[in-house]
Amino acid sequence: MASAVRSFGSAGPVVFLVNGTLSGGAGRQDEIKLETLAESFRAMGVTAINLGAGDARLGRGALLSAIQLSEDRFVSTSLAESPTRPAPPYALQGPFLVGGISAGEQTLSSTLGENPLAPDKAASWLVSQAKRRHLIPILMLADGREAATSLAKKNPDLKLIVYSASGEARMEMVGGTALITPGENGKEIARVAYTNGEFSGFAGINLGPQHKDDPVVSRLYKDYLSRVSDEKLLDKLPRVKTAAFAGSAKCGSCHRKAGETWLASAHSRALRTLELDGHGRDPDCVKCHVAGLSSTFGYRSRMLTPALAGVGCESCHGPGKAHSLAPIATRMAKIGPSPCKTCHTPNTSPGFGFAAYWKKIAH
Amino acid sequence: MAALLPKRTVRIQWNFASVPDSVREAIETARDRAFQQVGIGLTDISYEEVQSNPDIKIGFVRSIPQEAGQPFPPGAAFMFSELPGGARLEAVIALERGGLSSTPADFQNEIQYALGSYFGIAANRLASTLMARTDLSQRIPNRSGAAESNLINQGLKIADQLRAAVEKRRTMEPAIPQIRLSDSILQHGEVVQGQQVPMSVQVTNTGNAPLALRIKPDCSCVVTVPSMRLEAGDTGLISVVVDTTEVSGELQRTLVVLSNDIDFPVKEIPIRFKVVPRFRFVAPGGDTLLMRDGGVGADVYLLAPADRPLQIKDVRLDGLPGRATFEAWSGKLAEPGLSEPEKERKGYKIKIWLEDSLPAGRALATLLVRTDDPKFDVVRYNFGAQKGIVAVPDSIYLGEISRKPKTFSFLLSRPQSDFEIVKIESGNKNLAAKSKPARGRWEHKVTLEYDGKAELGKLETVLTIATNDPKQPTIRVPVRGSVR
Repeated sequence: MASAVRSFGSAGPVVFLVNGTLSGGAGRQDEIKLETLAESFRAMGVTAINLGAGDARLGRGALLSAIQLSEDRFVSTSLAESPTRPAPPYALQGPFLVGGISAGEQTLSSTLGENPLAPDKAASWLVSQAKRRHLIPILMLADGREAATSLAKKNPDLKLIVYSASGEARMEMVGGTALITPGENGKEIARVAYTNGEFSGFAGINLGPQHKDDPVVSRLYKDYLSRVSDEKLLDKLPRVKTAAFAGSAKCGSCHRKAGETWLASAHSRALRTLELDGHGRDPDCVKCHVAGLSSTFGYRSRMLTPALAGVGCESCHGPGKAHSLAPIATRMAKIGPSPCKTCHTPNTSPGFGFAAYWKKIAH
Repeated sequence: MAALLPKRTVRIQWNFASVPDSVREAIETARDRAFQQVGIGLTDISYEEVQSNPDIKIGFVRSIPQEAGQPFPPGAAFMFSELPGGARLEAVIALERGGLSSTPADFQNEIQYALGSYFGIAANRLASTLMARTDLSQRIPNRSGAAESNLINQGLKIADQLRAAVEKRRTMEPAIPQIRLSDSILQHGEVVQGQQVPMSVQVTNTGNAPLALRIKPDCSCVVTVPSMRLEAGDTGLISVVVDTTEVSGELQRTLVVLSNDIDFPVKEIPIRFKVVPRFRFVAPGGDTLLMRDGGVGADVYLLAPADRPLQIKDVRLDGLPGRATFEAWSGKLAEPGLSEPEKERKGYKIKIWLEDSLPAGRALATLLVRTDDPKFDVVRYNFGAQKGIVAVPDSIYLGEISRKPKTFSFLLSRPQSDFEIVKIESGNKNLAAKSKPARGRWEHKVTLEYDGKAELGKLETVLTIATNDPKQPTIRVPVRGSVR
C-alpha cells in the first residue's frame, strides 16, 4: 500500500484517507495492531483516519496511544464537542474538509465516555463547517452503501463519501455526490482525481506482491511481530478443556496411506511456512496452522508439542488420543467439508473450492 | 482488410532513439521475456525485427503527458491504425511513470500487452494476467496462461481462414457470438447468515456462432458452474449459490463472465443483498467486567433473528474461574452495535459470575455457548475482566522516535473507584513522567516527556508508579520504543 501511494504523489497533491475498522477485536493483539497501523499510516502521510466503533471497543487508553502514534490523524464527527473528545471532528488538507462518521455512534461514544452525534446531524454539521470555510466537504463513513446513499441524498453538498463494503473497490454517483468504497480488508486502494470541481478517473488499485514493500512500513511490521512474540500472546490465549490429542504421527502409525498423503501435503508444512515468514508466534495466523490451539491439550510450541505442529489429522477430525488408545471402542466421526471452511474462509483463502482442494489431500 | 489481420510471423520495428544506453539492455531483456511469455503454448509464432513495413511499431519516450481528469500520467499508449501500408499497432512506452523509472517488469508488461492486443485479446482486470496493465510501476511481470494462448491460437486460425477466403474471393459470414444476460445485477431479499442463497441469470446467445463462457466469482462463498457453451440462438442458465456462513452485513460480490463476444468479452454481474447476523451478543454493561471484592457478575444477551431463533444447549465459561448460567428471556433492549434503540426482543440472558481470584490487571475470558444450529453449533463471546488499577494500554509503545523532544500519554484507571498517584519514577533518564486526573479521580492521565537525547537504538524501560491503594502500592508499566 505504502509504495503504491507514494507513487501517486508525483502527479499532484494526494489526500489519503483511511476508513473502516483497523483492529477488529478487543484483545491485546488488537491493541498492538492498532498502534502499528496508526504508526504506519503516519509514515505513509495519511491525511485522516476515521475513528470507528469497531476500534473504540479497545477503550479510551488504546485509542489515545493510537492517536498519538498517528500524530493526531484520527477524526470523528460522530462525537459531540467536549473538552475530553479524543479526536477532532475533521481534518483539513488543501481545499478539502474531511470528516468521519461511524455507525454504532452510541457504542463509540459510550466506550469513550463522550456524547454521540447521530449520522444525519453529524453530516449536516460537517457540510455547514465546510461552507463556512469555503472548503469542499468529504465524508468518511464507517457504514454501508445504504447509509452512504441516504446521507448523499440528504446532503447533496457532500462532494465525496467513502463508505465500507465487502467485495471490490467501486464508485457510483448519487446526484452530485461521488460514493466510493475501497472494498474489504485493505486489498485495494480506491483512487480518484479531483479536477474542475468533479471527482473522476476512478480506479481500484489491487495491492498484491506486484508492488514493492515499503521499507519503513516493513520495519514497523517486523516490530509488530516482535512485540507479539515478546509479549507471549500465543501463550496467553484463552483455552478450553477438550479431549486429548494424539498427534498426526500416531494417527499415521495405523492409517498409513492417509499419513503418507498428509506428509506429502502442504498441511504438514503449514507451521513452517509461517515460521519462515516471521509469523510462527502470531496467534492470528498460528490458529489455522497447528492442531488444537484453543484446547488445553493442544499446540503450545514446537518444543512442548511437536506432534501438533502443522495442520494435522486432528485439526479437522478432532482430538484423537482416546481413539488411538482404543480404536474400536472409540470411533472417530466421519466429517465432510465444513472443517475446511473453518480456516479456508473467503478472506484467508479467496480461491478455495472444496472439489479442487480435496484432490490435493484426498484420503 | 486482410492486411489488418494478425499474422504468425510478426514484424516489429523498434525505436530506441530516446532510450539511454543504461536502460537499453534492460528493455531488450524484457522484450525477449515478453516474446517467451506470449509464445507460451504457441509453436508457430515468431517475431522479426524490421526497419520498415512493420506490423507493430514500438517506441519509447521519457514520459507521456497526463490527461485531464486522470490522477497520473499513462505508462504507455497504444494506437491501432487501419491505414494501408502502415503499422497495425503503434505502442509508445514511457521510460518514467508516476515519477519513478519504469522497471524491467513494466517494459515486459507493456510489450506483452502490445503483442496481446495485436493478436486480438482484450484487456482485463485479473491482476498479473497477460492483459492486465496498469500505469503504476510494477516489479513482477504479468504471465500468460492457457486461456490467453488459446485465444491467440483461435484468433490466428480465424485470421488464416479469412485470408484464405479473401484470396479465393469467397463470401464468408462472420462468426459473431453475442452474449445477452437477463439481469445486470443479482439481488435478493434479506437472508439470515448461514443460509445458502440460490440465484440465477439467464444467458442467451443472440449471435450466429457458438458462445463460450467462463464464469468466475470473486469470492469462494459464491459457487457456480465454471464454464458453459451455447450454440447460436440457445439460452442457458448460470446458477449461483451464495454461502453466507462466513459473511454478514451488506454483501457485495461480483460474478465475472468471460466470453468470446468481442463486444463484451468481460461482463461483471454484481451480487448484492443483506445478510442478517445469525447471532449477536449484547452486553449492556460493556465488554470489560470490573472485579469487586467477592467477585463480579454481568448479564450478556444472546439474540437471534425472530424468524430463526437459536436454542442454547449449554453455556460454559473458560479462561477465568467462575460460572455461567442461562435462561430464556424477552424484554426491551437497545443494540448499539446495530444502531438500534431499545425495543422488544427475545433471546437468552446469560448470567456470568467471575470469582475474585484475579491478580491486579486485565485478563480475557471466553463464554462458550452450544446451540442447536449445526452451522453455528458453538458460538463464542470474548470479554475482559479488570481488577484494580491498570495502565491502558498495559505496555506503553512510543513507536519510532527521533532525537527531538516528544510527549506521550497513557491512562491509569480503576473505574468507579478513586485512587491517587503518589509518585512516578522513570527507569530511563531521558523520560520524565507526571500525572493529573483525567475524568475524575478514578482515571489519571500520565504524561511522559521525552527529552530527545536518548542513544540510537532500542529504548526499553519500566515506569514505577506508587499509589495510595494498600492493595496495589506499586504498579510497573513497561515502556518500549526505538530511537532512530
